[in-house]
Amino acid sequence: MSGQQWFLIACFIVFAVAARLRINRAFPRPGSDSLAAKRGEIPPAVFYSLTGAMMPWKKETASLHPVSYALGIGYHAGIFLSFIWLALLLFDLRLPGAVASVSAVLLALASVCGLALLVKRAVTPAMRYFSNPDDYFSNIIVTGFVALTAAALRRESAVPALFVYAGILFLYIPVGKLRHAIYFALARVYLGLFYGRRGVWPRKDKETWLT
Amino acid sequence: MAPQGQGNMADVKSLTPRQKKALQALEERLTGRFLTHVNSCVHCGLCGESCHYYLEYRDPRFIPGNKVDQVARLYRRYFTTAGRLIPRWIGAADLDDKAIEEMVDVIFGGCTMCGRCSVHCSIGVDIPYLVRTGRTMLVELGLVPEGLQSTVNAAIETGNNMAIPRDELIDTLKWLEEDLRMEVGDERAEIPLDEKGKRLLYTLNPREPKFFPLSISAIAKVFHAAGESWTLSTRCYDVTNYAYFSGDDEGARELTERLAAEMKKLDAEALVLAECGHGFRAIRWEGPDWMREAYPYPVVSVIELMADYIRSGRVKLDPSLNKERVTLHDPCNMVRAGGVIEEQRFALGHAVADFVEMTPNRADNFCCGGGGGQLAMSEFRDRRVEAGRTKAEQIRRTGAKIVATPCHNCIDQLIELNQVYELGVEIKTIAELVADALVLEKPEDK
Repeated sequence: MSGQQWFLIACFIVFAVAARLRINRAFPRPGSDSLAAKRGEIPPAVFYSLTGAMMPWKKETASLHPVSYALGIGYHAGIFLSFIWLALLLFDLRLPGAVASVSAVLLALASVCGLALLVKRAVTPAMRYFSNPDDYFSNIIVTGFVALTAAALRRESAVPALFVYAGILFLYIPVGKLRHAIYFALARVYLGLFYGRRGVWPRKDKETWLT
Repeated sequence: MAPQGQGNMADVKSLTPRQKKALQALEERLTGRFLTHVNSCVHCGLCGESCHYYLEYRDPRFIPGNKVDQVARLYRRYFTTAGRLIPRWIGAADLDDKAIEEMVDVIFGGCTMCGRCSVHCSIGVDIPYLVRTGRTMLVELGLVPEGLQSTVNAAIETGNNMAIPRDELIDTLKWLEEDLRMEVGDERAEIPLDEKGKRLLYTLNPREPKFFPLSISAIAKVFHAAGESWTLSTRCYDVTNYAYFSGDDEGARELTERLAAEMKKLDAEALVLAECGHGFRAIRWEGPDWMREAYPYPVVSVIELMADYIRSGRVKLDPSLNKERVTLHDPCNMVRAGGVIEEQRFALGHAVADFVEMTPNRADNFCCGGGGGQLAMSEFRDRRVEAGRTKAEQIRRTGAKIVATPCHNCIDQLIELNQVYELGVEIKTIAELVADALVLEKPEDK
């Protein structure tokens, strides 16, 4: 393994430890449940929170903002794909060239999505109002990661740079708003616990007072 | 755990004792749930359109993500390493006069903690939970708006939030009892007071005896028709809990414990909560956690009870007695945060001839604007009424002549919206409509 690969692994370990510590503190503690008598079923509500409640037709943040939603989905799909390719490249597991080429195109598109979201943040007064430097930088560093992964799939010479860049990204995740990657699923779980206990979730698709 | 801001002593040293207490209150609430939600907001800003304040003003201060930030930036500043080292970079802020002023304006004056934003949040951040934590900090800073604080004080000092003297309450209830007897034509009809060993202890919103006695008559008529065994307490009956709104956990616990003690004293089998959205949420859902003790008896909304009467045939209704078109406003704390969603629809489905839903409704419904203690904060009155425009337009689109809602806070706000926006509707409780539709047996048939 090269020095860059070891650097990436070391950074990932630091990230994993930080993430683990954060999750440990954030995870629901046994006995921390509400003492109020349940009105609904919690497991289906948590499942719903992680699935059905996230559907675009169930959330105004998606249905009222289809362009932003599509950009966000494209961007995040690209981020996940980049991490998969990062692992493959790190352990020298190569896929057929056609897969890499298609991936590179998809990642390039995802980079454009990320860039578009960055521009949106920069030019929308309402978003600028409560954005801080970390909000912009987080987008830039992640968009750069996706773009560099795309480049690494086309040019072998970019791979060592990708390892170093990804290592720095791993170190930055717990610092700023990128930490939502650590907390996102837990936030959905907590919301499911809240609405499930109270019998609000899971929502039926065709709720009507006649039924 | 001491605030990490102590690493930079100048920051903490410059804080007043009250500011330190506010940070201590925040520190005591750094639970897993809090840490998860406070670290999850990505400032996407898409939640704006789910908030009736932002819809009205298009002011970025009212974007729910910015409300989260009122608390999150303090958490970052005093309880994270990055916030201590690079505060500006990550949007951490000192607890200074400017931050406090914005907190009061935004999280008291620009949020009803209705929770609609959370349901629609891209991530799932529990925004009202974080806003209420911010309110708790403001309690420690002594900055709860005066009207809201005096409502809490009245409840704690006098036993009800309108400071109604006990004699006055009893007089009102006795007068209502006489009216009830005349209305149902049965001398045995009663409004039992302070009677031990009844099946139900029923609560009241103090606004009922003070301003809306007919809603007490209505539920008494329903109880009479159902042959219910019930009582009211004349000492501890207030279903409201404005300390929930103000963020004062200690006050909220005190008020909840009093009701629990009254239940024990009167030895009732179940506690029935009057039509009050936040009262239902506070007592039914938050109360056990404030008291750190589960209730040993059922606590239900009177809406659930009425739906049960109808379902089981204990009361009979004739919907043709309510001919006008009726729509329903879903109180946020009873529906979105309380789970009582279908019962009021079931009751209205049997009590009125022409029911029409608002759009959106149920857990998606818009707040009327009267929640979160707004009705007690006169300094934000204009904003409350203007932010209610979304609700007013919802009502107008239904073409209804009557708006039913199981919440007295909502009723007050809807009455004001009705006047300001000239909606030409009548506002009623669910019990009033059910009572109007009752088919009463003659006394000799009983």
